[in-house]
Amino acid sequence: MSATEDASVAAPSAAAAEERPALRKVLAPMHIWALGVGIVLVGEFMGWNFAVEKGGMYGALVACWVVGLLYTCIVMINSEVTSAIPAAGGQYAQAKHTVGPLMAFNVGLYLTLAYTMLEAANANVLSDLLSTLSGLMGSEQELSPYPFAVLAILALAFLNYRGVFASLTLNLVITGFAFATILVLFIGLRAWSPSGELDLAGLAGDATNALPYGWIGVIAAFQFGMWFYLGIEGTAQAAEECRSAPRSVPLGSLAGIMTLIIAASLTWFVCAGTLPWHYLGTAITPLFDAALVSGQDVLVVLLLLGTLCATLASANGCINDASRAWFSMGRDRYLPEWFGAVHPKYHTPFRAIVFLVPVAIAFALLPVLLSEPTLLSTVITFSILSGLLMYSFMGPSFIRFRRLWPLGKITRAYTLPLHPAPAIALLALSAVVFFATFLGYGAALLSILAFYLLASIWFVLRRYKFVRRGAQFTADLPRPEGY
Amino acid sequence: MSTVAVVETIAWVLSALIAGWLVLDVLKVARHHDEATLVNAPDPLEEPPGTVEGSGVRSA
Repeated sequence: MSATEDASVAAPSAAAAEERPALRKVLAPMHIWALGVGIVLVGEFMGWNFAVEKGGMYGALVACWVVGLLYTCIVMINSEVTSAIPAAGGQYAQAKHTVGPLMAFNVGLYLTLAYTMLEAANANVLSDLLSTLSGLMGSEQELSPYPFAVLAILALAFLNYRGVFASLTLNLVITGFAFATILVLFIGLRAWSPSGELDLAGLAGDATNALPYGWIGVIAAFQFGMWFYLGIEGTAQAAEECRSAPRSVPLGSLAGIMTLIIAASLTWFVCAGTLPWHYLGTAITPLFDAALVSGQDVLVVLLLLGTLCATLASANGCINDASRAWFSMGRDRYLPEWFGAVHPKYHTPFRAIVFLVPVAIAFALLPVLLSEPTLLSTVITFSILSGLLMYSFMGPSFIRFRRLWPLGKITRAYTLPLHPAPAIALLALSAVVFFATFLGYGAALLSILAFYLLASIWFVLRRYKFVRRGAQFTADLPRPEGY
Repeated sequence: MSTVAVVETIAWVLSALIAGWLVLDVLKVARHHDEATLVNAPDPLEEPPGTVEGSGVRSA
């Protein structure tokens, strides 16, 4: 074949490639911060306090910092790998390159289900909060939870459908506001001052409120310590849409985990100093309750709005992350390729976004429809356990990543210090949290493991034949020998 | 009709409008665009990546 013929054959292929819509690269580090912190911050407003019921005031604090260490390891590992493999799907793409298709399929499924369940729980909580708000405004009639949960999911899906820049800019604003309300509460209660409103003597406490169940209580508290940080790893999902992923992902993610550790510590300090531990351990909205105790109307309104904004930001970030994971699996034919489409005008994974809307609505409304409030905690547990399963693979996967691409072989925008200590610490801490979760949700843990086992069997028997094995290596990295 | 009922009706109407728009747009895109150009999948016939050192994913 002559050179001219070669060119004529190559030209249409290149033109077709140029015509294909791709995800738009518009995000900056602040958007990554907003995505990571936005998903998580709702955990400061509710959920973390169940750790107090399990382990007492100090048990919750130990859980806050030890689990904080687990998530710091995750964020640092993510920062290095994502700066080298900046692909939508985040940990899914990492697993695809470092382990293989079956692991990647499972990770993609963990990600999609974890974020979709969290989105459903957020929508459910949002409708409850609106009922509280209407009560505070003097309404005697109770609001129905259905229309607002459905509207929240659809409106946020619409925003995500129309473009990632607008949806994550909204997250930046509402997450910033929600974080600011925690700071305002701390200042409003003069929490730093011994003459302030906090019961600092009670905070220092004795054995009855500090460690009521001893160290086994502290271990049991770890499962709820995850609420302070669950979802920060989602920053990796937006890597393909960053203007400069090697810069944005490490900056946004590391700033995010620092923000969360500060927010978690402040939240614990304020709540532990204002609310009795028996109450705090079972409260639905502890930060809002702390504002109520202060008796300052401004704080009450601000914290209610802060809780609402945190819930919205979390649901918004979850839609973003779940759809990217689903889209990536479709693009690689782990799922029907139809899901791997990009919108020609908005440059978003539009089919993945729309497909997950009814799933989220179903899980948001089922606890209400069936009058089973405990179903909500099951939904949340499913989300947490899916995340935990993913964390347990990240340590070994990172060790393999460093073996495949040792330092100096590829350009890294961020290098994890003290390797392999963080990877080993992550593995050990994940095992401890697994044990803690087994203490509280043993049956749920086993049933979820069974679910993923069945899904893996389905993938191997029915789906793997559609995967283009030769096209799985999509990172701009040198292929390791024998890959 | 009470205020609560009005607010709930507005929420339902908005939900229906958004859902309708999303479904219509998905159908519209499918009608007006070739499916092969919408899916941004890696093409095994294209030049394989990883020939140069650096970072990033291949954009199809």
